[in-house]
Amino acid sequence: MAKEARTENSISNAIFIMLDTLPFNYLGCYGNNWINTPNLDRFARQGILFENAYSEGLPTIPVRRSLLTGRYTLPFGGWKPLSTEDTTITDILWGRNVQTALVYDSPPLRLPKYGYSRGFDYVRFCSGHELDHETFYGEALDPGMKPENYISPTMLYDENGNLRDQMSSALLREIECYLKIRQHWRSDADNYVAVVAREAENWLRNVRNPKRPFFLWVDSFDPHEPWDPPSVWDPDLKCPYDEDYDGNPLLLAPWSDVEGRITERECQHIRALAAEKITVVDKWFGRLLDQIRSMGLMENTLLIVCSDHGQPMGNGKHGHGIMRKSRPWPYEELIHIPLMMHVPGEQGTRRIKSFVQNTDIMPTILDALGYLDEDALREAGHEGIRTFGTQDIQGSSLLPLVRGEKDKVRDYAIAGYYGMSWSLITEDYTYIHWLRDQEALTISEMHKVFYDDALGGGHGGKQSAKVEVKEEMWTCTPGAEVVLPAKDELFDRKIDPFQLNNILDRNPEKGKELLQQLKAIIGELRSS
Amino acid sequence: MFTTVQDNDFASTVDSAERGVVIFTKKLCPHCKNMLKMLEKFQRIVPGIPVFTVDSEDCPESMTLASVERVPTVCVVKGGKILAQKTGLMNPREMEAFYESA
Repeated sequence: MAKEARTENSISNAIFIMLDTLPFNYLGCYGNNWINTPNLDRFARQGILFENAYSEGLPTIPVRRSLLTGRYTLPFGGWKPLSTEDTTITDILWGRNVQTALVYDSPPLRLPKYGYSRGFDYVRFCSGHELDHETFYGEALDPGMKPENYISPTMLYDENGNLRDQMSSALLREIECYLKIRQHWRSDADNYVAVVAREAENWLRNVRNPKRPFFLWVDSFDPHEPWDPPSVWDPDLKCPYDEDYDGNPLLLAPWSDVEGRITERECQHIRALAAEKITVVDKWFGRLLDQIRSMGLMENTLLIVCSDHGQPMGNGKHGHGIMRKSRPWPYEELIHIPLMMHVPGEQGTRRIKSFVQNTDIMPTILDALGYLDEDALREAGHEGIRTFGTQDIQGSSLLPLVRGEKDKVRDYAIAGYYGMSWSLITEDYTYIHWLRDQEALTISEMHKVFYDDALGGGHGGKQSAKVEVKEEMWTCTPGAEVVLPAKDELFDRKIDPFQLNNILDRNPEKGKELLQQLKAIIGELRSS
Repeated sequence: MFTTVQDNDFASTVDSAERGVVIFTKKLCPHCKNMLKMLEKFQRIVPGIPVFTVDSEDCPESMTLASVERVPTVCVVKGGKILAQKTGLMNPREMEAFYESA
C-alpha cells in the first residue's frame, strides 16, 4: 500500500511556469527601466528572486531535458529526444499520490519521437506556435494580408529584387502560416500565452482532483518569436516601445548574422516588439496568478517562474552580432535566465545571489513535494511495482537557500551548447571555451546538425547525434601542458557583464586556471 | 582505498591479482581526478574490488607493458590478466557494466 510522502513543510503542490525566450534584463525586477512587466515584478517583489540563474545546456530542448531530469546535459548531449536512460520527474512521481499535468504550446517538445510529455497524467498541447505553424498551411489567407508586408524587404531581397537565399523563401512561407492563424485574432486574448494561461486555469479549476496534491507544468512558448504583439496585426496600434518606427511590421527576421542583412534600426524595432510581447505575456501571467490566488492555492503551492534562455537580437550586448539563436552563443544575453519563486511560509522579498542552474529546479520541486530523499520515496513506494528514485539527480534543491539554511549551492555556473561551446561563470570572470570553430560553421549546418533539422520536423535525434563529443576530449598524454585555445575568451564579469572586451591575452594564467576548472567540472559531471 | 603501483611492481601486481582495476593517471589531469572519484563510488557499488593507480609520467614501462598511450585509462584485471581497457571518462554505472563484461 502506497503511503503519503513525508513532508516537513506546508507545501502540497507545485506549479512550474516556463516563459520561453524571456531575457532576464527585459524585466523590471532585474533592473530594466523601459519595459512594463508589473505582474512579474510584483511576483518577484513578494517572493524570491535569483540574481545569478543560468541555464546550462542551451537552448529549448536540452534546457527541458535538464528541467525534467535534474541532470546536466552539457557533458552528455544536445538537441535530441528524451531516452529511456533519462529518469524524469514524472517517472519518479509515477504511482505516487501526485497528479501531474503539462499544459504547453512549445512545439519543439512535441517533435516526432522526442517524447518530452512522457509520463504526465494530463497533457494539453495548444497548437500553432513556431515549428507547428505548418499545421495551418492549408488554410485560406485573407488576400489583404501579404507575407512580404510583415518583414523588411531588405532582409528578403537583394539589390536586384531577387530572393537572397533559401532562408528568404522559408521565412515568407513561415510568415504566411502565422498570418493564417492571426487573421482570426481580435485582441491580445487570442495570443498563444493567453490560450495557455486559460488552459492551465481550466485544469486547475475543472480537471484536477482538488483533494489530491498536484504538479502542474505550464510551458508558454511566448514570448518566443514570431514577434506578434497586437501592434503587428492591429493596424490601429503602434508599438508602445517604438512609436516612431514607420517600416513594415517585423513578424520575423532571418536566423542569421546581423551584418549585411538587418539594419541597426530594424534590430532596435525587433527589440521593441519583443518588449511589447513580453508585456502581453506579463499581463496573462498576472491573470493566471490571480486565478491561482482566487482558488486559495497560494498557501500550499510552490510556484516557480523562469525562462529557458534569453535572445540574441543585434550587435554588442544585444546579441554579439547575431539575430535569434543562429550560433552556439554561450553569452550573457542568452544564458542568464530570470528565476523567481513563491514558497509558502516564506514572506517578503528575498534576492538570492548564489549561482543556481535550471538543473536545480526539478530537485527543488521534488523537495517541496516531499519526494527528494530516497527514504521518503521508499516509504511511499509500492510492493512489487518498479519505481524510480532520485539517485541520478545532479542538481540541488534550492529550498535550503530560500529558507536561509544555506548561503549558496555552488560558486559558479556552466553554460553552452553541447559539443560546441562551454562557458564558466564565476563571481569575477566568465571564461568561454569553443569546442568547435563556430565562425567556420555555417548557419545552415548549425540548423541541420545541432538543431536536428527541427524546422523540417527533426530526425528523431539522428542528425544531432553527429555532434557527439569524442571520448578523446576527456584524455591527455603524459607531459602535455595546458594550452589556451586561440579563440577562447575571458571577460571581467564585474565591469563587463555582457562580455564585450576579451581580456584573455592579458591574463593567460587566469585563463588556464579557469579552463582547467571548467574541464574538471564538466568531466566530473560526465563521470557521475 | 587505492594502492599505488610503480614500474618495478606493476607486472607482479597484475599477475597476482585475481581481480581488480588498474587506472593510469597523470598528476595535473582533471579527468584523471574525476575518474579516481568515480572509482571510489564504483568500489561502494561493487565492494571488494582492489584499485591500483599508476602515474603515467613516473611509470613509462608500465604504460608500454599495458599498451596505454593516453590517460585516464582503466584496465580490468581478472585471473592475473588485463582483460579489457578503456580510455576516457565513465560514470559508476558504466564502470560497473564495463567491469562485469570483461
